[in-house]
Amino acid sequence: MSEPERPESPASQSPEPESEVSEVEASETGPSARETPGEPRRGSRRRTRLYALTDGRTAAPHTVLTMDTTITAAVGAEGGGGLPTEWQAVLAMCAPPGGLAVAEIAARMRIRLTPMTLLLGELADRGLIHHQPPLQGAETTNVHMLMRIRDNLARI
Amino acid sequence: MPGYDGFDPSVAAAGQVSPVKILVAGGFGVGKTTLVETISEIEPLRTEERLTAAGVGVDDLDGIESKAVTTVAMDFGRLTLADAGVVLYLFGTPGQERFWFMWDDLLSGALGALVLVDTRRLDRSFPAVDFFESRGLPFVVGANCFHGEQPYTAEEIGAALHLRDPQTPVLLLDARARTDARDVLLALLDLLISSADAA
Repeated sequence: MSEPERPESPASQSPEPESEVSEVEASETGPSARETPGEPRRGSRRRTRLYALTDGRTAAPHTVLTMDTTITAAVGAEGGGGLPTEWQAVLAMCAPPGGLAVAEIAARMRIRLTPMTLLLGELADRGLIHHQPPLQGAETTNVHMLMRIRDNLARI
Repeated sequence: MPGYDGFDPSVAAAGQVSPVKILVAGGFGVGKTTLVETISEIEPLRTEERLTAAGVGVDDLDGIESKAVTTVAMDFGRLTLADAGVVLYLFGTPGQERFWFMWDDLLSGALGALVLVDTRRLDRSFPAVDFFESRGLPFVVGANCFHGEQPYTAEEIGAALHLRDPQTPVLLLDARARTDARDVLLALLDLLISSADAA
């Protein structure tokens, strides 16, 4: 199998100025998904190998994330100079205070959930992102929590 | 290691909202994506996951397919409820949800589910009802009124679905109407509150 997708090494420490391109592309993936509702998105953009995204690491990250974990950048995208462009795109996407869920980052990056979860785990291991777990079982059955959600929902 | 120390990554920043998952099910063509689109504050997004019968692996083997591996797509939208400190994520499949039973990460932590039905094709929603009943995930039923008409009452629809719990709320709705989409979510919250009260 040939390897045409990724000529440059993401492990390179030399700062590369092309990060804006990647961010712009990533931020535009949402609306384009609506144009072909029946079609999967894969194939419309170059694919990046997972080991390249994780800077060559193949071991599972220590930080285990779920699809509904909220990710917030701990450093600005501009502070991530020298990081792989995909990492910088993720940091730009989930800038504080809001942050984004893992599933939403995966969709906007056009990376499937499992690879995206591993990549984000790697970023969390390196302290580049904060992560907020989803509500736990005790909270989802907490009457006061549920009533707060209900009241807020009733006002939209 | 880069020197980004000075904080504990396991502790999230203060004031952040917590994500909450709600699943939208009901088979092909019942209006799931329409409902998500109606209530979502963003254009619905699509993500994919590869599932195997043995669960989700960590390897992403491009170009290597086998019968045991299935790619499942997922459409979702979000609704931030800032005062409650949560952001609702509504997940639906563009097709059928027959692979959801393999997708533990999807069900894990879900608050509850909406089962949409088209009364002209009620059978398409039976698997979703069976699935949530067997997994014990609370759900409400929304009967989508196509062309603004619904020849059946909520009671008739509930009876036809053979709901295990006859108290399961059944609402008539138009998936394109934001108030209807909100009302079916409110019905789910009411159901969750009453069962939390009873516990």
